[in-house]
Amino acid sequence: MVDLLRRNRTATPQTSPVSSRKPPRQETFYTASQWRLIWWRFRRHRLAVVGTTVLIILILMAVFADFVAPLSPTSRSTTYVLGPPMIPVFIDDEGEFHFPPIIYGVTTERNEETLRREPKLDTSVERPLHFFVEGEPYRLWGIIESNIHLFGTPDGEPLHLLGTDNLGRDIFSRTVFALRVSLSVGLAGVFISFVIGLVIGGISGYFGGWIDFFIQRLIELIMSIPTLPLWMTLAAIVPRDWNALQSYFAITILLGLLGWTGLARDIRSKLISLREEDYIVAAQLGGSSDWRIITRHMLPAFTSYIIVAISLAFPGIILGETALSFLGFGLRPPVVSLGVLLEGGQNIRTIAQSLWVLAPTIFVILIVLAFSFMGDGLRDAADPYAEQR
Amino acid sequence: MGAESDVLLKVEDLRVTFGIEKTVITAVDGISFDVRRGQILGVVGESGSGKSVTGQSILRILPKSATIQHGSIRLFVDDPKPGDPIEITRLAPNSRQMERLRGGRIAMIFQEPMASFSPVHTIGNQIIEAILLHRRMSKAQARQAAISLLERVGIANPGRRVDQYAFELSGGMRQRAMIAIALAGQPDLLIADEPTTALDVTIQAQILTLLKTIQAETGMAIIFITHDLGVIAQLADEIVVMYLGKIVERGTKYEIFDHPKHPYTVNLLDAVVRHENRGQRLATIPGKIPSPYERPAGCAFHTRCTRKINGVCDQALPPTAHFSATHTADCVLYVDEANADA
Amino acid sequence: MLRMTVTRFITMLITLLLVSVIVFFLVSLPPGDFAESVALSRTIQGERVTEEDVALIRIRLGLDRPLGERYLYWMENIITEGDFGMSFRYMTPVTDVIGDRMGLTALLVVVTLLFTYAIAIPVGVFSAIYQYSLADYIITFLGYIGLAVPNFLMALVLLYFSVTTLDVSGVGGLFSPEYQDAPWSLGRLIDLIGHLWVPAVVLGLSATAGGIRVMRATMLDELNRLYVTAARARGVPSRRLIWKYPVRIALNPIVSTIGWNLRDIASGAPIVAIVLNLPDIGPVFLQSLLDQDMFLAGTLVLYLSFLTIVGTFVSDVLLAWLDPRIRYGVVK
Ligand SMILES: Nc1ncnc2c1ncn2[C@@H]1O[C@H](COP(=O)(O)OP(=O)(O)OP(=O)(O)O)[C@@H](O)[C@H]1O
Ligand SMILES: [Mg+2]
Repeated sequence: MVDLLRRNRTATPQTSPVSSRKPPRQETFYTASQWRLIWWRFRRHRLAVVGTTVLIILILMAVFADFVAPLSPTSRSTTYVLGPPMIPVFIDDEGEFHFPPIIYGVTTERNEETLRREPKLDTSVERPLHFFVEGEPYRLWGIIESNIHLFGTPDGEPLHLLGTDNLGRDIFSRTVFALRVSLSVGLAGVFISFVIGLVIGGISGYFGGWIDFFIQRLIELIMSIPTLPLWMTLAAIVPRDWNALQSYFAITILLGLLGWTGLARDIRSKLISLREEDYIVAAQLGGSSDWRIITRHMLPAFTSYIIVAISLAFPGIILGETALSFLGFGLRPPVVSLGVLLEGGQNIRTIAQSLWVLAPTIFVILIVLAFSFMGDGLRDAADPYAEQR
Repeated sequence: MGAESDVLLKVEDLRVTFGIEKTVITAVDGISFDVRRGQILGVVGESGSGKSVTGQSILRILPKSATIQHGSIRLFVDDPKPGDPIEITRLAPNSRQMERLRGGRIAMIFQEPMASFSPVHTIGNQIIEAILLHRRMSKAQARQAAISLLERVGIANPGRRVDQYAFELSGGMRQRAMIAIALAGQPDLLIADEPTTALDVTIQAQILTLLKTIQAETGMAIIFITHDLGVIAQLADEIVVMYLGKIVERGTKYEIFDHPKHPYTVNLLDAVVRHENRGQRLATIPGKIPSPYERPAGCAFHTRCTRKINGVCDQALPPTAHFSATHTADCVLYVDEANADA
Repeated sequence: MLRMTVTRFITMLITLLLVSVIVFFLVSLPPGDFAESVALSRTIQGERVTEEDVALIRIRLGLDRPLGERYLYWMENIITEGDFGMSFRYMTPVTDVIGDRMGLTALLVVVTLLFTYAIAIPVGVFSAIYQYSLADYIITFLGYIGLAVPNFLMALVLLYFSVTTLDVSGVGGLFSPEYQDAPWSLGRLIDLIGHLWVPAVVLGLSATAGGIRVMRATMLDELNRLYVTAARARGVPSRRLIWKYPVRIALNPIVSTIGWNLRDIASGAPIVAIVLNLPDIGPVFLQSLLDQDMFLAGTLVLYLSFLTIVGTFVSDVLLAWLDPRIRYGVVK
């Protein structure tokens, strides 16, 4: 699928993907364990490595959200409402070089059309960006008390990296916290999908026959209903009076419940090809029980395959959550997810004047891209001869 | 043997490499041979010896990753200009002239007749395509010609077969249809790359007989590629034996079969005898073919040779020994003959 | 071919039926009673609603009968009269509310699909033929982006540009003001087509990106096949060869993706329509969900599924027509 990454194969179909290593290294190449081999191949996919790195950074940001975000997701500025992003610059408007980079100050200016005073950047005030500065106090994971933030300005004035929304809340801080929620929804959703997919796909693929036939038709049936409208309909059924936490769980479960079909199919087809393998047949003839064959022989054989399928299932769930929340059917404030943040962006007037309210989408795109790059890279590494789809 | 004017195709010092990442594999390593008009030249060798690459070089249908490093391939035909050979190695693979040569002067058939046909076009469609490319005809005439070609290659009920797909034919019939396509352009040379390997023995014999008959009727030359000396015995006039990109021995059929010189040829012949005794499908000789990434130094065959001389065979390339005007072998065992010649 | 078509057609009908059961079951799931919420909304509007009125509404909507019976009744009306039941909110037949809008949605989905393939096929072929060229890398990268950008964001960005740089009426909606409420005419149709491309591009983005990927990958596979070499060996000029053989054969997997793409497109159609405020079923769908008008919502989901299922049927028949191996039952 990702041909950018698998150039060697298509170009030279008749040779093994063994590389240009010199014979002594080649020796080790052959004797390396399965995982080492996968790791070696994975490392050669530049995009996959980049994707994985980005993903790790995003996850770290989410985990240490309180520390990374300069402000809490709910703290509001009364003066800097719908204020533009404060991008750190190395070279100021007079061409002077700064290290550490500087951030401009804030002023207000009357908008000639609306006659309202709007916050603007004041290039005459220059504030240096510092790391590990003191700011709002917080409790990391509800345990560790601190007031040290990753970055900020020493003057203690707020720093709005991606600007503020219509209530004066810091978009960057909110995005960092939203990352935590969105990634956790993705993780939980994928986990639910995966468990269901594994069980149903496993049954279908292992037993075959009419069970397989029945399950496959069922999957086709579910798959013929367009996903997002179905999600919306189900989400609309979630009672309005549930609190944010309850609806968080409801939506996560919903996303998981509808995402398993693709995984079940993948798992089934892999199982079927595995079932024909000699060693499985041998175990069957040897009288091993079904359970033993599944857990002892088949599961290990496609762990790598499962990892690939999971990482490719992530983007769908994350995009689903974003779309649902954007429409107001997903998570509800005060829970902040990337989709919830975008809900405010529905108003085209706001967007036209303050495009930065859409900034959280950059993170949606980053997550999806990172997962696809990583998944594609993993797949090529785990199974260089997989059918291109 | 025959005069120079008999020569239809002259390959000299051909070297073809594949570039994969930073590695370079030499698939064909400086080979030279002639194909005479009306002659069947057998090319034998195990897997990976460069037989197919040689055939693909002549037609300039090598994969993109392949490069012809040096050497020349010349085709001696009377047009465009009488007397002047066509320098195939000088033509661009996609040039108009090269396209006219393919199918028109030189045709090729392959090991997998099923895969050689488009799965969504009828065989008639593909035969007619070949006819229209190389002959001036109306579509209706071309269709008639396609039917008679099918008849000529021994397909019963050609009027019906012409509208069928390759998957509706049996393996033998497919290869016959493939031969029909090859004949469509009335070529001077047919390259048959293991055309019978994928078929069962009885069908194999039928196809060989067909090729022989057609060769006799049309007088075209054939390069017959195979790894099976048994097949070549029935067909070839002259034989070249290849190993890892080099020609290790060449001679007339009788010279090779009755007086094999190179240990590799000897082993191959032994294998045929053993294989016929045991009724195995594939004749094999002892030892493992070295990987193309690790070409042995010196004589490439020394790793498997029972008569290897330590310190000699694994050091220097063996000299060429001449046993007759047509019979040569590259092996130090015949160093006397080589010196006598020099 | 005929037999296969008929079999496929029957399968399609069964699928439709089963999907309708699922959808009906889903919309009947929510707790609470629609009759009461109807009554409530009327009370809010200032009407006096008594218990008897609620009971009457219940009977009128058939809510007093058991689930199975209600389903049969719903289906019977759909099949015999094209009547999809009552909208609780409007208290009118669903078809009156959405009849015209359904046509627009179908048109949008079909136009998007055509647009998707019109782009994906040539670009995929190009990308495969010039594998590893700069253009190929750019196309592949854009393909990734196309798959990663949510289509509602794309719609928002387009809106943004239309508001800030173009004239405002350019992007939202499907008609120019003068045709907004006009009856159908040739002029209105042309106007519609002129407006349709914007939502089609937005909606088709990920399907196009996916299509390019599939086309490119299959082309790369096919270009290495022996039949290509064989055709080259008989002197077929390279340009003609590529279009006659590998492209033609790579069309088969592309055609088999029609069903998938239709599902994706139908899936994204409501949200894009909501953002761009198109006069199709999108905004009605959103409103019906907000109103808990579940029959209307269910009908719309069923309709979108219907588009997908019919599309899959068409793609299967097309595939059999394109590929003799399927027609002759050699491969499935
Ligand atoms: N497309 C390709 N890419 C890379 N290397 C290739 C390719 N085709 C052939 N080679 C290499 O060229 C060498 C000669 O291959 P060739 O196909 O000519 O062998 P052969 O004699 O025809 O063998 P066989 O009996 O298996 O057909 C081999 O070492 C092979 O690895
Ligand atoms: Mg070969």
